[in-house]
Amino acid sequence: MPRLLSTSLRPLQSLFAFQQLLNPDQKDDLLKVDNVVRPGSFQTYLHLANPSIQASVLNNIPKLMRRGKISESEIKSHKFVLSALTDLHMGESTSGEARGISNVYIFAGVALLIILLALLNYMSLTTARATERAREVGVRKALGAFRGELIGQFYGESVLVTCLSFALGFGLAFLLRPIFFDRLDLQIDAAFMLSPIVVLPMLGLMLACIVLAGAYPSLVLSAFRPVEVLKGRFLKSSKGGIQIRQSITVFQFVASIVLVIAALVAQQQLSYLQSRKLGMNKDQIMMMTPSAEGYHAFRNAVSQLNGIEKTGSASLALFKDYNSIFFVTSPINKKEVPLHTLGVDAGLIDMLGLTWKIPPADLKNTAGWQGKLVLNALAAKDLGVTSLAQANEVGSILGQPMVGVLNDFYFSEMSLNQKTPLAMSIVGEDFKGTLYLQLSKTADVQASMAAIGKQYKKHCPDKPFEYFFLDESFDTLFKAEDRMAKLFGIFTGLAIFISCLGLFGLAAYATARRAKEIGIRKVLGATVGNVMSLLSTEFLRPVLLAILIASPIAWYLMEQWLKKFTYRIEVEWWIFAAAGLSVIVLALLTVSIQSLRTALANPVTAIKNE
Amino acid sequence: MLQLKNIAKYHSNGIQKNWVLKDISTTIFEGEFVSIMGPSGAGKSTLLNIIGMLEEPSGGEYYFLDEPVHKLSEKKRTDLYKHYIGFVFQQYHLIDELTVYENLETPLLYKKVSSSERKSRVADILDRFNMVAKKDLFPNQLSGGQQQLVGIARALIGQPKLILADEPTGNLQSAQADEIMQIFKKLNEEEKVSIIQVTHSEKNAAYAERVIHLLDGHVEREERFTR
Ligand SMILES: Nc1ncnc2c1ncn2[C@@H]1O[C@H](COP(=O)(O)OP(=O)(O)OP(=O)(O)O)[C@@H](O)[C@H]1O
Ligand SMILES: [Mg+2]
Repeated sequence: MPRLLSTSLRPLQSLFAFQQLLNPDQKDDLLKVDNVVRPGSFQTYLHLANPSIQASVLNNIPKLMRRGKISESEIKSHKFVLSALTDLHMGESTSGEARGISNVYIFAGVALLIILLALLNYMSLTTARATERAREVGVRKALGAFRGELIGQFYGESVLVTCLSFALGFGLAFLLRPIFFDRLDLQIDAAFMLSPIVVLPMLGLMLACIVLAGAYPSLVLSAFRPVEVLKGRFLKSSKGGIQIRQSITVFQFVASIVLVIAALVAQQQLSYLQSRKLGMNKDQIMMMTPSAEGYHAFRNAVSQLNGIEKTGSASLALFKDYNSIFFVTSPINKKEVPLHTLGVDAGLIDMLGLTWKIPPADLKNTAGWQGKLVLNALAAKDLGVTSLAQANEVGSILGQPMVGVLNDFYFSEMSLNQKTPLAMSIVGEDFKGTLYLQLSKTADVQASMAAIGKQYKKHCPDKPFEYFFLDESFDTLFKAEDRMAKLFGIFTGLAIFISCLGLFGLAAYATARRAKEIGIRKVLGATVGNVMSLLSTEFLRPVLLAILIASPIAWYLMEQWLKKFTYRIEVEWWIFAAAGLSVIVLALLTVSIQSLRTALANPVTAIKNE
Repeated sequence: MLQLKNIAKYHSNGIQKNWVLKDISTTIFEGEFVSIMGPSGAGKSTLLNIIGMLEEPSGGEYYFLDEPVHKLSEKKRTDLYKHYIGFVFQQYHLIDELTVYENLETPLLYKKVSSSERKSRVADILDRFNMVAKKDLFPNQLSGGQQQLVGIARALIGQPKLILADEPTGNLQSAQADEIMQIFKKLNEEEKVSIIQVTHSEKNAAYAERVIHLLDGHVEREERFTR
């Protein structure tokens, strides 16, 4: 434990966010104030001598338990899982879901892609310009000296441009850091940005960019045919260069379209996750944990208040706390089922509006439910339970009779992400857990809160009045994802912008190259509309090709991504259509300025320029 | 056919006006073959472009087939020259990316001629210029003279009433130039196509019935040949 919290770990980056450190021996003091020390809320950290001994550590745990005189059935009902601390840090939950880390990889990948797009622009535009420069200089210089000189010049330029833009980028990142981190709710030390793990890779990236940015133009130059250059015919004979630039455009738009489709699919999946039917009511419900001493007096007092509709109690705060899990082997189908557990009182079942799949024998006599168990439909299905009698068969192993089976409802972060069998034990009136209050729909929230606060101060003076709303806790679960989606959207926008810049450059170059041809066509009777459509089709061709290439790639990637979700959408065709169409429109707008200028130009001037 | 009244043209650079054409008045009749001559910079090309409606005069009146061109909208003007005028250039100005066939077809596309009609007209003109074998070649696979033949064929394919040729033989050897001039003459005589050509060669100019001599933007003199 002390090892993990050593000062070398910066608090802001640490997984362990704490306000207080407490010795386990002081647990009883804590219990006086906070009666809810939830089962399993103490995690045990092991410092392994080396990672390969994981399996033998797991094997030894039952032996240790036996030595601790723990009963054999108790040992059987426990299952132990080891997770590496680094994985936990990257966002993996103990259940083995790895959304955090894959997001990190996704964003690193997208960032690299954006740099690549920008590099491609640079290469494509410098070569386009190079061909013109070659024509000017080629006439005057002997070719041997000329080529070496130009290559040197290209590298010089790429060094200058890359260094400048990295310095600018780093400076901007440093300046905009507060806004950026605030948006993303990230907390990163300023010093971290200057530490070697950040600076060294950046320098490496910069070097790579310099080399790449300079390499392609130099390569093209070494393919110059001396005589052609001297004749000033490089422009005409560089069909290969045009094709390469076209391929670059195709690639850029493939990347952009994949990102657009990915952003749309991710957005859709997220809104699907948030808007599905929960199987329960979460509105107007607040949760709080009053201190043990004043619990009942407080509950009685607030239930008398005007704005309070219902009260209920549970062993934890839904969508906030973690359930503990225990493993049961069904006596019916012999399957081992991991049951999530939750203690609730009858009042909460009523408040949440949960519905019965196999209703209890006596629906009205809620007092009689006390000390019994309720399963959710998923648990019943996994355990092979189809009747109340079968339910009681399961109950007999658990040592508690069954009340009935509830229809499924979502109750925790995990239940939102995977199929979660649940067993709830019905607690009595004397239970002191998380208190749930439902405000009536017509209640004046402010006034009710004030009244509740007043009662709280009176009955639980030791503990600050802290409360959460159930619907807000639910929404909080998606905050991280929403932020990721937003960030992804920004990255996608950036990628499209860069690709359009590239297309803009290409359009400028291509229209300049075709100016004479356009002039001739105008003399032959082409209208502005004719010319616009001629140029637009030329630029649309790579974009259309990109859509064709990007669609299956995006489909495959998003299928892989969606596989992680138990509750997921299907990728629909209209997403591809929408992405393709919007990119086409953007591309057309981008080239339209150039096209229009060329189309409106006086053909005489264009033709004269020989 | 067309009438120019006091046509003037200047280019202004900042405050100063550079006069290229001053007070040009002349009438060109239907079926006439006219040459324009004059030293370099005299304004020959400019005058031809104005007649071809590619450039607008700075002043004066221009009637083409009794239409007041100087008052027409851009679209009307385009329609006029698309239907009645064909251009031939010194540098041929064929489209490098298109084959001979496609080059010939292009003006018809812009005139919205139907596909079958285009086919027959291109076939006709290829036949007439003895270029059927070359229809799939690109301009840079042809000699200068052959390229200019394509250029003339392209100007003719729209069945214009007037052909404007700016130094059509300027880049050609004299044998090829003679061939081009023969074609012009034949066109003029047999099909009554009006022709205005700019040329530096006395010999070529003499194919026409009338020569307009330009000097510093004004008509220095006109001469007429009688046949
Ligand atoms: N866009 C322009 N801006 C300014 N001056 C121009 C422009 N176009 C032409 N000129 C000037 O107008 C004058 C006439 O040009 P034009 O091309 O008509 O001459 P030309 O008689 O055809 O000469 P050449 O025999 O060399 O072809 C020239 O002095 C030229 O410099
Ligand atoms: Mg000229």
